[in-house]
Amino acid sequence: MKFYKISFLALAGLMTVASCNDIDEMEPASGALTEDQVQQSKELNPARSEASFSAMFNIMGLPNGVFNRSTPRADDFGFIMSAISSDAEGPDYIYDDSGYNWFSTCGEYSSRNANYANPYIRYATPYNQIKMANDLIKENKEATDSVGKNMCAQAHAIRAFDYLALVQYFQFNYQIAKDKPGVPIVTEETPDEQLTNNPRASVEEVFKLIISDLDYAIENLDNNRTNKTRVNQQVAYGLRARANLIMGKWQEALNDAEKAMAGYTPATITEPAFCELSEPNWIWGIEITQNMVLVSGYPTCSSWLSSFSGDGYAAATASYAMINTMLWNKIPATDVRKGWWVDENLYSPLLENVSWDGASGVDLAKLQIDDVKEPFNPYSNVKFGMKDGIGSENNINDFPLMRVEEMILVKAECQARLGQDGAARTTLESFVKTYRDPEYSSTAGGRSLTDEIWYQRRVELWGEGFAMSDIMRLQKPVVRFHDDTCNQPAAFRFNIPADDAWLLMRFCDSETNTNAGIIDNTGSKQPEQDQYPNLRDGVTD
Amino acid sequence: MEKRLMTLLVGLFLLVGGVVAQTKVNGTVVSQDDGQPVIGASVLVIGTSTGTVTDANGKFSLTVPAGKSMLRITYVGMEPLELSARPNMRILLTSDQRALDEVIVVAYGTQKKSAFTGSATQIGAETIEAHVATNVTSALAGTTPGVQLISNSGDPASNAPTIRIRGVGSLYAGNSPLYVVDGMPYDGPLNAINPQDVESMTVLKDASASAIYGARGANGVVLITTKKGRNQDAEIRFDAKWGSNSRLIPQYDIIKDPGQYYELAYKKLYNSQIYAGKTAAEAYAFADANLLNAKNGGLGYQVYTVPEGEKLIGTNFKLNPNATLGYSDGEYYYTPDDWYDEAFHNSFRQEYNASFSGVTERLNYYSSVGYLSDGGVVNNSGFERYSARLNVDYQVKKWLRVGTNLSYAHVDSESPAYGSTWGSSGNMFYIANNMGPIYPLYVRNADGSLKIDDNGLQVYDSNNTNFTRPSVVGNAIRDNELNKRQDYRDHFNGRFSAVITPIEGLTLTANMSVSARNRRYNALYSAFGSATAQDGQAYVYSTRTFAVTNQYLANYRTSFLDDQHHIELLAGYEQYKLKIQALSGQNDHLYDPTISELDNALGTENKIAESSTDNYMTEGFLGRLQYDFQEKYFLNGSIRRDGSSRFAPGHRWGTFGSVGAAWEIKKETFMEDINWLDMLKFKASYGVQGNDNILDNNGYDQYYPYISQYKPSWSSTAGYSLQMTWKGNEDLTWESSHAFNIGFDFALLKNRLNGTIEYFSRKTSDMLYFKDVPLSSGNVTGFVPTNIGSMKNSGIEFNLDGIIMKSRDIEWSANFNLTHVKNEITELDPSVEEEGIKSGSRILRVGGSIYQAYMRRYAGVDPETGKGLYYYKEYEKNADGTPKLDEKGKIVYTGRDLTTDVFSEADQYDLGTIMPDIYGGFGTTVRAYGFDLSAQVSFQLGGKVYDSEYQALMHTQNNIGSAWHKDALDAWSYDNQGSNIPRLDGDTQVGQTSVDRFLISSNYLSINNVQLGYTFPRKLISPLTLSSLRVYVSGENLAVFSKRKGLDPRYSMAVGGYSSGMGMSSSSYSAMRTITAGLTVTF
Repeated sequence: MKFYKISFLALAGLMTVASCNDIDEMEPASGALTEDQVQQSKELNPARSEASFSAMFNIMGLPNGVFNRSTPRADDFGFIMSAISSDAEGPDYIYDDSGYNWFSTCGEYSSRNANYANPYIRYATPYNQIKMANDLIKENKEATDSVGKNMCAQAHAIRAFDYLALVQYFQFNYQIAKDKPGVPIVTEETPDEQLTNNPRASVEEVFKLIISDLDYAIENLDNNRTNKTRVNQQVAYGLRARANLIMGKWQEALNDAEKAMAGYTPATITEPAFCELSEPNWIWGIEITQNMVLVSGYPTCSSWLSSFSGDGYAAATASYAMINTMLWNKIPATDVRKGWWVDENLYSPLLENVSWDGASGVDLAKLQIDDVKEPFNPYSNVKFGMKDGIGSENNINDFPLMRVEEMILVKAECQARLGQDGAARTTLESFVKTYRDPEYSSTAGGRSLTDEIWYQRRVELWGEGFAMSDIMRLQKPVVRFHDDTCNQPAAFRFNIPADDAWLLMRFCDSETNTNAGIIDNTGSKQPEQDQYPNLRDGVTD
Repeated sequence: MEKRLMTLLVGLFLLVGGVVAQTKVNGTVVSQDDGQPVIGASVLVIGTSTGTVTDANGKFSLTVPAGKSMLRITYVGMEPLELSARPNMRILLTSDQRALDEVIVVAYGTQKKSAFTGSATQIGAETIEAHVATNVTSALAGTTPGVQLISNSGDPASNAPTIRIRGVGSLYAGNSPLYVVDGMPYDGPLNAINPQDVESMTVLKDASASAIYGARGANGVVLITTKKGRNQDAEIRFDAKWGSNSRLIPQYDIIKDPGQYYELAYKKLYNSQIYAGKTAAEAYAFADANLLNAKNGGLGYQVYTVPEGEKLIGTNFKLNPNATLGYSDGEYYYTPDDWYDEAFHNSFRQEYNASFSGVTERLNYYSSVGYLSDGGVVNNSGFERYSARLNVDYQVKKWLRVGTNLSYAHVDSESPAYGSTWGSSGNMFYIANNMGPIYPLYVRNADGSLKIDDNGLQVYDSNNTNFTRPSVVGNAIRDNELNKRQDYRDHFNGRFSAVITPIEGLTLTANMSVSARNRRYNALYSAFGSATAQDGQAYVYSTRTFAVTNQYLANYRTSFLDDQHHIELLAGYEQYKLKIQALSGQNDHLYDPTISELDNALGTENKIAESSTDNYMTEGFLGRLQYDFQEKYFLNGSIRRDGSSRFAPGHRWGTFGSVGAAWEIKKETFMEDINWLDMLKFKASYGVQGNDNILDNNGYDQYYPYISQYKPSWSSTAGYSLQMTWKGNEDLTWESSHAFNIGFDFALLKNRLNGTIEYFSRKTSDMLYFKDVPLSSGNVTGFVPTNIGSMKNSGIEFNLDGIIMKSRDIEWSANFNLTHVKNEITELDPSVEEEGIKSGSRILRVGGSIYQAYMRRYAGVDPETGKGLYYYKEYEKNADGTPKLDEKGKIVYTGRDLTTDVFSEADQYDLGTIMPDIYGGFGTTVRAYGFDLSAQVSFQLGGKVYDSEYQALMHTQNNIGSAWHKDALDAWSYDNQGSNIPRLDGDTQVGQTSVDRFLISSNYLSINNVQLGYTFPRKLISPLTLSSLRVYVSGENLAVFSKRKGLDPRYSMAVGGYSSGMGMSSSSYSAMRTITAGLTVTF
């Protein structure tokens, strides 16, 4: 009797446990949101739908955005990092040859190494963003509401921006390499199976996509937007101006540039700046919020580009971004931009208007705070300030993606290319004389008109990521030195001829190992110290 | 020889009876082998239920009822004896060579070893106690065939070595075995278990042994059984040890002389110019100008004083003989410190354990408390454990037994900053191992005295003098002094069981176990150190982990047909639920600079507060049938159906199972005459198990791999933003492992030689696999989890235990084991089957192993230029020099390998597996006249390891300022053109890329432990009311012999590269050697 009772009890207990079976209910709470939870949030609050759209812009300067490893990398911060890398590969932007310099791979051009993080980040960032854009395009293609249509149009513009960045890494100028392989194209219509065997599309095909995306954006956007991180019609015009400039469509580029710049005025230079979205000369920019830098503030432009961060790489390790003296020496003393870099005595007039720990002027330059700030090097930049104030440890500087000054210079260049030299000089002089150098004359430098415009771009856009795309576009050599007096560290002191195959990036092994369609770039080799000493570029001659 | 293997049942059912007292007898039971008393032997008056057991001195006394005179004396493992009763008997028992049938702990119960059809190795308390170790699994090193231990860290606070049983079964899923403590799956840290509480540890290696654990047993099972009461007479045992920890692995053979180091750096700078086409004069001028210029490839620091107008290094590349060490610039004095010596030191280890145990008529109890303090080899590093255990079994009714096992451990530990932070200035191990020998650790005043700041703190050199190092920010050794990382953990494990035996042969068991783990972690980043900018930072982290296992088992055992057929049936249900809740916060601006709590952190802008919950569950139904005929032929089969919440509904359930058979050949009549053979058993098994343990790309558990996951963020300007963090796959399901095992167990020469030889093969199919997708696909993780491909681990295990010599006073035994495992990938995703999967320095291809090196190949030095040469695959070219493509768009190779000094042209090659051919261990124990000496050694042969620390020390990249290996002195130069080491500055493009030049043999021999003890004779200590007293000295992790000084091949089982795998050893906590002395007393 007892046996049966006990057995019955045991069995009943077993059934009870088995029946409160909630193996289907195992979900995370926070930490990660599952697809169902995302859907549920959208149902409860439809405004959440815009979160994925917002993410597409977030990734542009996100610290630790794409490398996706357990340890943060100080050089993983999206397009801002790509901009610094591009400039560090160019002639004018210098970091020391020391163990603190995470961009030495660009200084020495080992960035063509297929398993390095630097090219990985520069490649993964645009493609991650393309994926987000493609998803948004797919979702909102048929949208009839204004919000959906607008998101779709912005996504098209973003995709164009990405391909524009990518195609210039991997192939020479459109005008000479139209038929050569560019980069693989992935759109919202690319089937998943194709991704693993997706050959490089020709440069022409890539540009076709870029222009059609921008046409779509311009057609479907107006000039309203929530803030300057977003794309409006003017931004789309600006992007198309860049694309047309590369393609040699001078008149189209000129028209687009004029539309892009309408209503914006160039900056007036009085102190370190270029760190706030709200600056009146910014047409488009990347916003860095406090949230983004909570985990690590080192992968930021505040940390690398600004010399004024209270918790940044540049200041703490004296890895200040410096200008090549060959270019700096060419800047007339009357040009306010000469003060974007301290001179050999660490002086810049811009330092008179700011202070750090009570120090201003040369004292600020020489200021040393243990573990925080080393004295400036000669020619360290003071162009980029700190959004939260000089010396702040909040590395939340915004980064400009498009400024009115660039568009003015595009306009001038197009005018020059169209043979309207007089108009070009007027465009150039009216900008520079009004905002930069009252004594300016476009002939004083003794350069050809197009070289004079390139010189202006090199000075004006220093540190903003235009160096290499200009060199590729203009088919110029990389001229970093003429003689031993240049301030390039020995390991980075070399020149590279125009259209040298080493100027083309190589695909990361993460791409070639999985995308069977890729045939990589080859040719030339990593530059050696002091190679091609006799090369000249027309600007720093 | 200890003879206490008294089972509970013997004790419980020997009820002392007898009504009419007649004759009183007494006596002592002694073992004939060694003359030691036999404790717990049962003495029964034949024909009655009167009986007793011997006490701790082997003595007994009982009253023989009238009319009875014969006694029967029995003891497990001894020949039973019958003799007539008389006063003051001295009874000699001889060991029963035939009946020595060990009982081993198996899945869901125990089993006679003879009936066991699978493959398992059990080690007992004696082997475990021979180790002075924080983790019980350390005792498996070298003692258990088929088991490999890989230490990830010498950190006393680290959990336990990684264990791989019979190879590596998974690519991306967990490869760790399932731990089962007292019958219940255990997922707490192993260092929460006090090894002193462990009675035995069994490693189940094949499917028939472990398939019944279904989903969780695919990588083998380690069963840990804690102690119970053993004697009717209560036993009190106390154990204390004191010892010293020191760094086990020596430093690499680096250049320690600052002058020599300067000379080499000077030569490198000179080379960089002379080979760039400069004249010798220009090259000398450049080296002179930049040797100390940290901004242009130089060293930054001057630590020699040279006479006015003289150079530090001459044109002969030698240090100026007039130079004197030490330099003052008027403000500071600079002289190098040995960072390595300053960082590492010996530390103290102490451990105390006390236990109380006993058996009474209905009660069996074991209770213990322990304290351990284990110091680290660097400052602010250590592990402290307070542990307690109570195991109680109570026979409530004849048909009901209840039991509880409760254990609690509190752990306080502290760890320096290291871990995955390879190459980081903040990693003190990396810094201590790699700092050039010219740099000061401390700041000194101009007079040479150490500088002390206004707060009374030692001032460390963090680039705060007038010199700057060319790399390494801050000072990690300073930060280790000032920053604190305190970890507090509580582990509670409770098991509650009820066993009902309603009818003969049937046992119903209900088990519930809970594991509650709380952790609180406080980190302080000091305002005087690394967090100056933030004025101090506090990070607080807290987790609460709660796991419940419910288990219901019914077991029926019966026999029929004259007890010739035996059958045992098991059916059950098991459910496991896990909840992990985390809460963490971070803030800066500490009011009191030493308190790392958030209320003391007053910043407003960098506050982080995070919390999250994870849930996971598995459940399964299980059944097992065991049958034998005449205990000669054995068969068993098991089946289990498991569900896991890691998979989507519809892909959630899997069915697993096994069959096994064994044949006791020696019991056959035709074997009767072979006297030298005592036992010969043939066994074979096959089974299928599952694995759901998917890890994310950082090696952490991923509980919802089938669902795509997102992380939201918000800012006042940008609003909400949602980013994908994991790409899921709904079709994901169980990885299954098909294991086959065949082998022989044997015993010969009166059981003095025991052994096992086994062949195994384990095939993993539907591998949980992260299928890489191109970066251009924009997938955030870069892969999609999927089930595809298969691999096989097959090999041979051999184990031999022998008693070499045995007499009354001397016993000498030895053990030896060998394992050969071959890992082979047999199938991959069809899309990559042709090319293989390449990632970094590894290639996965069909026919290759899971650790197949894929690297660039070094071709030596160009004797003319001194540049490093590398192989590349020659390809056909078009007229314009571009590679010629075939119709499929592939490059056409000629099949020839050529060499180039342009590193970027070099190709990667499949260099074969790096896994060892053979690993194993041997050991010996000698006991003589109260002394005992035991030693255990493990080894590995035929494998390779990537010695990336050597690569770093050879400076193939521009690592100026970091330590140089002495081999760099032999670099190529015009007067050393035969060198196989590229000229300094002649190989810089290699950078951090892996090259086969740094792939080195991973052979090692490791002396895991040596123990020498002395047990005092009983007659000497019994006046002190002690029943035993033993003193010992023990050395744990005594030495490792490897191919290169400084290399610890035990650190890695991966292909590795410059910054991963083996590379970690330069940045990880080096292994420790422990030497202790102790004593054990029982009352």
